[in-house]
Amino acid sequence: MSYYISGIGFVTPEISGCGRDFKEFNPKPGKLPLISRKDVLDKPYKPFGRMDFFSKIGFAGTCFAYKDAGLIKADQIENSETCDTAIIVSTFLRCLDTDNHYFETVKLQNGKNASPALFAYALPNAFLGEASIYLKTTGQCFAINEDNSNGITILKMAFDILNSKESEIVICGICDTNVPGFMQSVLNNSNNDFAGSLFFTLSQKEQKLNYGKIKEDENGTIFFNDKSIKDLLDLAHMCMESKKIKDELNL
Amino acid sequence: MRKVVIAQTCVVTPVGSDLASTFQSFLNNRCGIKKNFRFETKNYKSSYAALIKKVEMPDSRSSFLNLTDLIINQLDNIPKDCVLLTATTQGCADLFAKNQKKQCLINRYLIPSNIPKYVAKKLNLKNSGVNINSACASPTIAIIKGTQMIENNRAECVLIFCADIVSEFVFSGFSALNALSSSPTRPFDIDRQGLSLGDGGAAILLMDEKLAKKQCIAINTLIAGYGIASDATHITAPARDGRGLIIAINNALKTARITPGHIGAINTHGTGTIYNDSMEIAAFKKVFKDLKVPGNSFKGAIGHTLGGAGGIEAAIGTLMLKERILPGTHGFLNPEPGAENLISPENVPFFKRYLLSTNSGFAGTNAALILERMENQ
Repeated sequence: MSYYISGIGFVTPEISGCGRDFKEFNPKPGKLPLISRKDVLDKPYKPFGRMDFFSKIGFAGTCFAYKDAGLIKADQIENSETCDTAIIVSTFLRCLDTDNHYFETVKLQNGKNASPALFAYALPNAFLGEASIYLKTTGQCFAINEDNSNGITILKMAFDILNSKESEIVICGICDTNVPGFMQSVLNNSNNDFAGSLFFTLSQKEQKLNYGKIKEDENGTIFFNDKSIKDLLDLAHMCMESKKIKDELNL
Repeated sequence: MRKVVIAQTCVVTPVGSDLASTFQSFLNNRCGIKKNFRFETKNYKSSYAALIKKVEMPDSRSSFLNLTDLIINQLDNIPKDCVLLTATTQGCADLFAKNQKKQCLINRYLIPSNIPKYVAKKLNLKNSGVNINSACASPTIAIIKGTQMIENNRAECVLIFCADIVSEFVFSGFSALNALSSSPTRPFDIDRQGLSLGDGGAAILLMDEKLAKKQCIAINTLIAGYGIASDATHITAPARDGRGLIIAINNALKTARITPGHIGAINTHGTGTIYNDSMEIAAFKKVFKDLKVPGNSFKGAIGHTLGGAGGIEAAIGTLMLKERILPGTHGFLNPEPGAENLISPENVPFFKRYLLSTNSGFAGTNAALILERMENQ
């Protein structure tokens, strides 16, 4: 079976937004920027402000990918119906920085001042819930943790969802913050180089806007427009190359 | 499409050190929720939890790893090439408190991918696996993902390992959210106040049916159907009308190719919080209408084991199907309106072949699993 990639969204140290707004995708290591609501959404949206940093970059990447696929315009969300879109993510560090901040509030007065607001975001799937609320999606939402979040496992899980016909569209990707300060000593040789979020909108049917076709062969190798990919960063790069060719040919 | 069977199960809970003793404790209406001796609780909403004494680790090691050892030491002949999926919500989060008390430095087991790596190393598995991290639905989602991997020819067998411990990190959080009951939890009771937390976990070996038969493994349970869905309403509270759970159950019925009338019993999530239990009653009413399908919750006996819950429930589910009996719900005395025909404090026999097991969690996630008793095995 083959599927279509119709949108890309990302937050990286240098650039953030929808794939169609950029010419290439070559993320460099660096400190992630603070993301404000205005960077992501046109209209005020209260829940954005209460999210932790991990959730903000995940939520932003998800919304950018959906928007890039032409499936939403921020101002239409309020009136749209629910849909069965799934949103899934792979993360190496999860929301460890938030976990640490939360436990700081527990330590303050032996638990008296534990912050319920921070605890609510001490799970890596919290932003998936926020995205499902905002995008009105009732499909699967779950996070996985891998030693090296290259994204191939989550991509295959997205294929399984599309294959089961449970959802017509799946947003899948990777999301990680920079290594939190308190974990630096443990992670000086990190297995995960990418800090930021990178999401793809995959669909069963060809959409008006699409970057190309993606499929998996019987050996488990994944191909984008018939070229094998090694990870999601590679896939994003190839999608942007494909877009460039289409733009040049005016397709 | 390949059929997926449960080839091996084991559990460790506050009321039993293995599957048989846990099941017997449920049938005998034993309760493992006692005064919390693990850490000081005077500043929290509850002083109760269902703890496993053997899990205690006073030194720098996470108690979670001890629980992991207790579970996987029961496993026998696990194929080295099986895919490993673990499920835990907070894993070794007790390390935060141990670090505060200077018992240890922050260590690598706070990184969730080190949990499947630990399990894989202990069992000499060829791949290091991934962890499913999606709140209280994590274990059921792991079972569903493992099933899909076998169905889609990605694997012939998948080992699911799922667990969580009662750490101060989690206890304080649920206390801050006013979700803890000041007395042992009473799922679906009109006077319920909230949940109790518990230690616990399970391991389940999923296998392609043909391979299991070829290896002459005694099997009695098939994964018949599954569904996962989101509420899209609130980040910590369930949708009042149970909309996400309804979708998950309907998807599970659809994949199992059965109707609600085929379900013999429901193993509910039943946390004992006001909103969860009333949400479930609403969802079951919508799906099952006037059908009287008996249900239960194990959380009155062992508390909410978070990332362990769905796995323990599925493992115990295999015995429920085999013995054709649904254990009663501990702590259930006066029914919440709508629960009178659903929940019982007594054990209830059931004879239909299908058991529905459901879980719901933070971020509005819901998962439903349908287990089928295999006849004439």
